[in-house]
Order: sequence, then C-alpha cells, then structure tokens
Amino acid sequence: MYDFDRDLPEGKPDDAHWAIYTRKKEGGPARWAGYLDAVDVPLALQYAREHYGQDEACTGILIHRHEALTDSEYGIDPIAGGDACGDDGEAWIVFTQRRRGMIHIEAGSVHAPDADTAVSRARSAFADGHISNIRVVRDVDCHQTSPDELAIWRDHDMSYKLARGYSKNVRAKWAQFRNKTDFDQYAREDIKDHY
Amino acid sequence: MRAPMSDLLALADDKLMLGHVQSDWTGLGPILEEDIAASAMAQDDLSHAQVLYEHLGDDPDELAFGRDVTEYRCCDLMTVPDDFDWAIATSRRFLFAHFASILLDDFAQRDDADLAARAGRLQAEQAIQTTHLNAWMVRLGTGGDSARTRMQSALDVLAPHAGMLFENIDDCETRFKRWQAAIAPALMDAGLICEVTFPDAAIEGGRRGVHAKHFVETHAEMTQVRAAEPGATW
Repeated sequence: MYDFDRDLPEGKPDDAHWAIYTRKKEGGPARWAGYLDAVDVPLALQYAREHYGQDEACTGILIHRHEALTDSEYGIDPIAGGDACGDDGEAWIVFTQRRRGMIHIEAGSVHAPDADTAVSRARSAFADGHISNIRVVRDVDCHQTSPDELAIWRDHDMSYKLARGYSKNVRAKWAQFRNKTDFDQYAREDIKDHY
Repeated sequence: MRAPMSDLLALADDKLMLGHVQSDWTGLGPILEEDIAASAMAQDDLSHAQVLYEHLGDDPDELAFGRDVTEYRCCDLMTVPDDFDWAIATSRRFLFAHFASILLDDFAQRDDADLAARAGRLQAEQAIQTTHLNAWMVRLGTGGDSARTRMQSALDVLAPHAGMLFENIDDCETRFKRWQAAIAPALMDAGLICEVTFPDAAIEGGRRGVHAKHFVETHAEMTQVRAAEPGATW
C-alpha cells in the first residue's frame, strides 16, 4: 500500500509557491489565474500549462515565485496617483487590480532599483484613480512559456471534464438505484469490506 | 461496427484499461500537483478511448464495458499491478505514452478522414503526456539513489510486458523500432535501462485476447456496475 515515509522521505518537496497568470490573446496582458506548488521553474511551468493552460483559450503563461511579489497596501479607496519618476535600476513587471476581489492584470513595466521604488513609480505610471492595488515583480523573476512552444493548449470539446455528476437527473437515478434491494446486497458485501 | 482494425482497437483498449487503472491513484499521488496532473491524464486516456470507440461503433459504452474478456485487445502491460508504487505507475505511463504517440501519428495520416480527424485531436494531448512523463523519468532517474533504484526496478518489472505492446499490430517491427528510438533519449538522460525484446510471434497475449489474471480481475471490477445494471445510462 502507499507509504508516505518511503515516498516522501524528507522535507516538503513541493513547498515553493508559484503565482500563475495566463494570456488569453497573443500579446495581451497576463491575467491572474491562481497558485500552484512546485520545486523549480520547469516543473512549475509544466504544471501551470497543465492546470491553467488547458481548460480555456490561452496563448501563454507567466509565473513567478509568490515570494517575489511586492504589493502596495490594500485599501478601501482607490490608490491616488504619484509623482515618483526615474528609469534607473532593473525592470519590474507591474500588475494592477481594479477593485478588491478582482484579479491582478499585467499593466506594463517600470525600472527601479528596489521594490518600494518600483511600487512608487508604478503608481505614477498606472494609478488612474481606479486601482485598488499595485503589484510589482522583478522581470528576471518572471518566467514565461515561449510563443513558439508546441501548441499544447487543449482546443477541443472539454465538456467531459465538467462536473455534471450531480444534475437533478442523475440524483434521481442514484435515488432509484439506492432504493433497489441490489444496493443493500452491494452495501453488505462491498462497503463493509472497505469501511 | 466498422471493419476491425486491430491496432485501433488495441490502442483504444489500452487507453481504457490504463485510464481505469491509473484512476486508482487519484488522491494518492506523491505531491498534490502531480496527483492532479496524473488524474487529468487518466481522464484524458479514458476520453481518448471513447473518441476511438466512437469511430469503431455507435455505442462506446458497449465496447468499453459490454465485451467478453477475450474480445479485448489491450496489452496486459496496462494491468500489471503497481501495488501503489509510483515508480511502476510512472514508468508504465512513460512506456505506453510513446507507443500511443506513434499510433496516433499514424492514424492522423490515414485516408479515413474521420479517423484522421479524431487522431489529430488527440495528438496534442498525447504530446503533453510524453513531455510530462519524459520530464519525470529524468527527474526520478537522477533524483538520488533511492529514486533511481526504484525506477530501475520498476522498468525491470515492466520490460518483459512492454514488448507485447507490439504483438499482432500492423507494421509491428517498424513501430517497435520507432518506439525504441522514442523512449531512448529520456532513458539515457535518466540513466535508466529498459531492455525490451520484440515479442515472439508464438507467444499469445492480450492483443490476441489471451489475457493475464490481473487483466481479468481488473476487467471484472471495471464492469461490475454495468453487470449489476445492464443498459444503465448517466
């Protein structure tokens, strides 16, 4: 039987958290999709493609370690614009969130020597009175699928993957099945063995 | 049912049985993301079987669940018990995924437009599986002594069964060579050895309906709902 001690001998092998963004259109902004855990970049990209790139139209994926992001404070009111300017330092990718609870969407990039400066400069460049949060990630910490990569995005009918198992129709069938004496026999023989 | 094509039914039955067997792992994968990925691929295999059965007949369920044991053409590599050893589960999927890729590539070139279209749809998903499994073979093969030893043991268990993938299918010798070439790079990078010999024509196996006990048991489990409620629909 499955042996956790044998199969996961030490530590937590998947303890690096990655933030995943997908591009719906070629050249379009990367939009927040979700998280996953993976030990390194290739595996994180692999899982990102599999978990987030297949169930909807998607032309590319951007990922970064969760620890690599710096968010501005989350407030009730929209963030005011700023007047920080400058283009020294390295490149940072900027994501903005229109309202709390909405997803972060790639807005552009700024150059800055550190994260706080990057947030300030992003505020000047992108806060227009309708943004509740700004997120910056160093460009070098972002990893993307390449555009010429094998087109692996699922492009056919995926309806077989949708959870439709508990439609009213199916519930009625289950009820019908359970009411039969066969089920009692099944329960006696099978379920008892397992539980 | 259309004119029987041994290799088409063989691939469909392989995918059905592998999808069924691999589904046992859902919730038990060694890490969460791999559990999800492997479960999704098992689901894909079941779906691929359905797509191929639809080409062969009007009632995929009847083909999947309604046949006698001797009418299945799958290779018994699919039902070799893995005893919940991830090394066996992964190695088996790796060996089979490359076989499936070769057959789907061939089907996509067939004159039969319906079959070619179906195979074309499945090729991309099959490519995900081969890429994924190549990566894991290399990761586990180079992931330290314990992992490498277990992967090599798994391949040693599976190798005698893997040759039977090529029993009684069209162009079996050419395809066998293509398959060996396809699995070689990942095995080399992984530092693993899988010596598979081309099957002796005198040995009858799953492709000719002569199945091992583990297939018969798996089939009985898979079809028990159907047996209890013939004609049931969802």
